[in-house]
Amino acid sequence: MAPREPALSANFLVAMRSHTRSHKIKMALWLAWFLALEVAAFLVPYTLLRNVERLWGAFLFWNVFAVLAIISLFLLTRGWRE
Amino acid sequence: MGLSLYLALAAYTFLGFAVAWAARKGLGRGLADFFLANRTLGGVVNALSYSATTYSAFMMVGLAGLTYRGGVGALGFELVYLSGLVLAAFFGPRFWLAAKLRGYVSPAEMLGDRYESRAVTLVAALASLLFLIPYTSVQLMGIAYLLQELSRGAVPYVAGVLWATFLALAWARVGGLRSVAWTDAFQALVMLVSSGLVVFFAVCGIGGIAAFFHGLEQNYSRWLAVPGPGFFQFSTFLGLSLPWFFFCLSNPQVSQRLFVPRSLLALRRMLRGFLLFGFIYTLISITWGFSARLLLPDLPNPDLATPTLLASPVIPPVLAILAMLGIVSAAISTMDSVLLTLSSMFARDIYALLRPGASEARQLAVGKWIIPVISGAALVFSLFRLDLIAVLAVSSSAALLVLVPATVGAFLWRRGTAKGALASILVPGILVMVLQFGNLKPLGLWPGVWALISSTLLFVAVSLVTSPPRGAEDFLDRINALLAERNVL
Repeated sequence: MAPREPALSANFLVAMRSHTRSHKIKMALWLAWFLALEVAAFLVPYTLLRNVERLWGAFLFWNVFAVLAIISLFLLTRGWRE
Repeated sequence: MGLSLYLALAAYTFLGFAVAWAARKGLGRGLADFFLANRTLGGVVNALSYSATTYSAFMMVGLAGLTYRGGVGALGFELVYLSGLVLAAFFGPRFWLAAKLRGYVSPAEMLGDRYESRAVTLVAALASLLFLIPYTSVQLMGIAYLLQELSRGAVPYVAGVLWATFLALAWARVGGLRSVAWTDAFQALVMLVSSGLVVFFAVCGIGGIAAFFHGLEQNYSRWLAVPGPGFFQFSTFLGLSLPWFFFCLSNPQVSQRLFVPRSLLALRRMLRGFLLFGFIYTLISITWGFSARLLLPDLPNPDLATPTLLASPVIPPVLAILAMLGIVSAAISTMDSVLLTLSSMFARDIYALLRPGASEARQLAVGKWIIPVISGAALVFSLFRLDLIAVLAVSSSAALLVLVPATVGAFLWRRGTAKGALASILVPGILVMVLQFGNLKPLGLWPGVWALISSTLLFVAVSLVTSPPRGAEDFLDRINALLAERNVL
């Protein structure tokens, strides 16, 4: 098991906590969006589109869902820096 | 097809070895050098390798068959899986930073360190070995059956198993992750190009893209809705999709890849590249299955959709051989990655814990030595074709879900404890086995759903009544500080 590094200073931790507050709000919003997207992916084709035997039914819905998920992930990772 | 098939297999073997040997150049002597390519892989190779590792022969055989049988539900299932990359986008930077900071080689080692428990490391590693060796042997069986079917018996089952084992073993052994990643990248391109060409010819055989869509709406409209022809009832869809949604966290051969990129931006390129590859490859697989439905409507068994389509007159024989190589590539690229990951887990998480004083060089020697042993076990299982192995392989995606709550908790919940992690892995792991062996689906829910529910409840409940590790606060503060510096949520 890897050895533990020295503990972080108290001042640093206080600064970190105020910084992470805005992160937590952003994180909650992203979480809510992805949760809504996933729940929709499971439920919409089995409820609203259940009897729609056309290409614009579940087929189109799941494709749009995937494109939205991919765009969202591109945006989520956009601000990363070294 | 006989001679051309042998020539194609020989060319594929030769090219794969050439790539593996070339990638070996500059290989260092450390454990991370061999198993993690010294954490220096670039984004594009990583994206292709991640794609080839994730997508096995299942896509062109199993998923195409599922589309043939159940229709559009197969598309939803696979795209829900792809959207599960949100977990890699969220946990990927955490894994990457923690591994860089603390020198982790395997995901089980990371869990054990976070929970300050050797037992957690050991149990997570053993669970991975227990379920992934049978999964590997099923990949072998898939390759061997396919070769036998397409060659009309010219390549016997046993020869196919031996050949595929040899390649996976050799490519993992030659240069560790360097050779695996580069051969994976080569194979990912073979997978994409060959399957794309098959779909192109199949759709042309139907009369073009308009005729393809028109044919589906006119003759197979039930296949465009769920539950459609009946296979994709909601419980089936949920039971299939849920384990796969968590795949990037639950399966160590892919979660270990989050340790590997040379930088955070390389990790981002890897995730983005995989998303694009996965979306295209999924659409190709689904179109493949629907094309088989339109061209070959009366197959007695959906598993025959792919071999029959490849043998049909709309696919030129040369392309059928290339497509077969694409499917073999998908299987071998998954196998060699699993072999390498399991070997690293054996060396780092089992051997090193049982022999605490073992040097890194010794651990590496054991890790290299175990690759042929694990390959041999998979080979023997695939030769005997035991029911037990099939059940373990089928349950692997559901059973490995038990690692998810402890993994998520490691980074998000300071109160998570070692005892909580152990309970969340062991008890649901046994439950999944019982459900799978007994073919039981209480309340109509599949074993994977029960695995996730029971594992989460146990992790939370047991953690709340036990003490968290002393270093948990420090571990999380440090990772969160590094994440904030890099503007990662």
